[in-house]
Amino acid sequence: MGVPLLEMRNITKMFPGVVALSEVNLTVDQGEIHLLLGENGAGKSTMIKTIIGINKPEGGEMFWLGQPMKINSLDDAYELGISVIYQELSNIPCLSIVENMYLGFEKRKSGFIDWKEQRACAKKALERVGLSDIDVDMPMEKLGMGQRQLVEIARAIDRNAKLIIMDEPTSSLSRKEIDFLMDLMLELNSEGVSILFITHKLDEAKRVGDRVTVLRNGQNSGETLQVKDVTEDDIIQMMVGRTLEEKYPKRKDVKIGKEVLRCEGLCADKFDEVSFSVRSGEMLGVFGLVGAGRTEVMRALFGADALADGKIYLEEKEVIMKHPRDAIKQGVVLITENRKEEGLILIHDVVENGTLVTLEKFKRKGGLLDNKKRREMVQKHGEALNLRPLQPDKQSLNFSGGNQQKIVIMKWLLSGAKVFIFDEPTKGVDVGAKVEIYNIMNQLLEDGAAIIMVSSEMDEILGMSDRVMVMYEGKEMGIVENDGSVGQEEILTLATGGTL
Amino acid sequence: MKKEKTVGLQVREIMGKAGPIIALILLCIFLTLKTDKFLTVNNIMNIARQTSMSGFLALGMMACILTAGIDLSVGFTMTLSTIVMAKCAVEMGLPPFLCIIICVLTGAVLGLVNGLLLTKCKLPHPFISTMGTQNIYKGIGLVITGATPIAGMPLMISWAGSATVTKSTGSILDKMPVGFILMLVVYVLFSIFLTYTRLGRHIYAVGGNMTTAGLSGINVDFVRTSVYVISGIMASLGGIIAVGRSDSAYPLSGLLLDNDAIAAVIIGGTSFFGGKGNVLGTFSGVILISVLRNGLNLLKVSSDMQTIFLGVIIIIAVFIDVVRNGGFKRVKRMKKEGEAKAIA
Repeated sequence: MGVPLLEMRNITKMFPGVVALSEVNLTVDQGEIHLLLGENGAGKSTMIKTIIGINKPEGGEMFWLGQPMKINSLDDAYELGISVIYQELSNIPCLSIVENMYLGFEKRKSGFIDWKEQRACAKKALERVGLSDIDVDMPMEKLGMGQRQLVEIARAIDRNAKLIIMDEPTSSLSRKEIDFLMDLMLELNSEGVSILFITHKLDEAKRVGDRVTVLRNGQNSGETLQVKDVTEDDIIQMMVGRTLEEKYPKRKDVKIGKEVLRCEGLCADKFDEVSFSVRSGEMLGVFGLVGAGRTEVMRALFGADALADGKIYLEEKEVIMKHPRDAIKQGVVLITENRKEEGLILIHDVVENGTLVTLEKFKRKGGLLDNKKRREMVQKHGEALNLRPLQPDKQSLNFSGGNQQKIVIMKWLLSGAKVFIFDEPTKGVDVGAKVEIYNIMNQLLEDGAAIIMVSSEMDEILGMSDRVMVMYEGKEMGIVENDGSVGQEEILTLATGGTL
Repeated sequence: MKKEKTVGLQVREIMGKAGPIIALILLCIFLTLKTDKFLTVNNIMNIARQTSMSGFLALGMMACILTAGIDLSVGFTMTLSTIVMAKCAVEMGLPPFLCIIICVLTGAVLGLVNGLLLTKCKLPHPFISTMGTQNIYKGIGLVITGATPIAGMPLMISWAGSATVTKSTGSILDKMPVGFILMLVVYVLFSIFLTYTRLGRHIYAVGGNMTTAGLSGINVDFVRTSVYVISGIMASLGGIIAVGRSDSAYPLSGLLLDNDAIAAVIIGGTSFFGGKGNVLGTFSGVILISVLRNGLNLLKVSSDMQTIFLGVIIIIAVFIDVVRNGGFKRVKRMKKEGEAKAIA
């Protein structure tokens, strides 16, 4: 093997109020595919940012091929031969493929961009990733997700990367594209390129990985191991540090009552003929891969997007949702996936955010708002939701992901809704706060609300739902009882377009 | 070390909230020491008189900027509403009280046009729609007056802009302009409106994050339209003061007034990106500009030079805001992350 390509010893990184990484070790050998695994918030992204010089660690040492690694900027990382392929693609859709590939690193001849050279090099690199027939002057937006991913890899190849860091590259790819990407990874690897592979999908990880390092709460969880020596269960144990049962708190006996909401044949651009219902005290999980149309259905149900066809019944009465206003009035609320962009007003404090929907309820006799009462109410609910820190006047910007989610939930709790639609409620939330959010959901169900939970995490769907609706490319593939009769396999089959 | 930092933070926070007021006080102290005329009743009342018109315009502008919008047409909205009022009063001889109502209604309608262009015609940014209407309103005013001022307002109309609170009682109120008092009253009412009413809070919410506001059931289009109506009404009120002061409706009276209104709002600490700001800040901003203009006059600085000063003050005010919000660091960080993506 020789000297390791990259060695990071006792890396410690602190952010105001949090220790993001605490004495983490990571060694990537030359020519290996190294897996870096861990739950959301375990410190994987912080680690990547440290490698490429965006984060300056407070403690620890870094070596590149045995030499102390001086990395102050991304240019340094590029010089060393490190390329990152991000989970959310970072290209500019309206620019051409070749422009995207050389963005910021244009090849120049006497000061002007050397288009001929760029095109030739781009073509060569694209051939390597199986995109030989593609027109390099085509705008990026004409490519599918999988192809864009490949362009990014071509860019890394063109720069002679020695280490390619892939941050969840498969999260938005189809099965076929994933297979192709895995093969490409192995091929690059056989040519001596090292890959640091971050993923949530353990089956993929086991397929290509040589060694695995697991992070948990910003620390190494156990030693770095040979992949062939461990099982998926071992890895889960290392990642989670507890069993699934503790992860998903049990509900006290909740009585599933009458049907609250029924949708029949909902149609719009991105989905077709979707029908489902949910009863009081029941959680309907909605599973599907990215692009399955789950969020689109929920937005239309909530009145945020237009519905082309279909009927919505609330407690047996037909309702029309033209605007979120209508849905809120009827007691149907949507807790959106992107809490920063759609859930919160980040520059406003907890009081403003928490009472945004329910200002009407705080009107005094003269018609003016009772701001003192608003604050008290937020204080009270903040306590009940275990909001930390419990400071109603603090900007929501300054809360952690889990606590921001609690502020959003508070906003809708105060509205006294009957149907709560949660879209990826625990995305980017740490493990402890996840459990708290599940407990809040359980409490809602105990109080007789109905919940629809959209999630991409199979564990979460199976751990929380009473029934599961599975979607694939805008179509409803079926609704199954989550009573142990169906498992991960069956649901995944449906979610990838198969039938049971 | 740690304690120092928190004290520093506190100082920064206080500076942030009271920044414009502190700047105003410092400016006043400087002018008092440098000139013997500045701290006289006559001069202060003079400042008050000059402030009252621009004060109304700035308040309407503030409502627009709070929603991350802007109203470049305020100046000529003001002009056109006063011209309509003057036509009704002087040429048609309608009762003065009715003319005042017509003036305010005209302002509201002109504002409504701005709002609807934005929300119904979906013009991409109010900068464009109000730049267009600015020219249209200016042109209409020139056409219907034949570019000549309309003079000879009835007393009741010019009262707000020309009268003092009392007459010959020998007290200070003899020199206090009614317009300034009216402006103060409107400022207090507007502050209550923004803090204690639903629409007031919705204005902040829409400016803070339009998407979130819409998904929270707020009628974003209604809120966005109403701020331009508010701006139009404020402009017409400012117009009534202006007409009183000069006893005429002058078709180019609105020239560059949008400039001063925006400057006052920004100096007063309202975020140009919306969602943040308060009435007290805007008030300080308006006074600061008036005092600055007045002081520079007393110091015999030419009006050309004054323009340079005002420009510098605007940039300093916004820069302080950027530093205060940690925007400096943020921009640096964003740049770094942007580079990160570029290299990947």
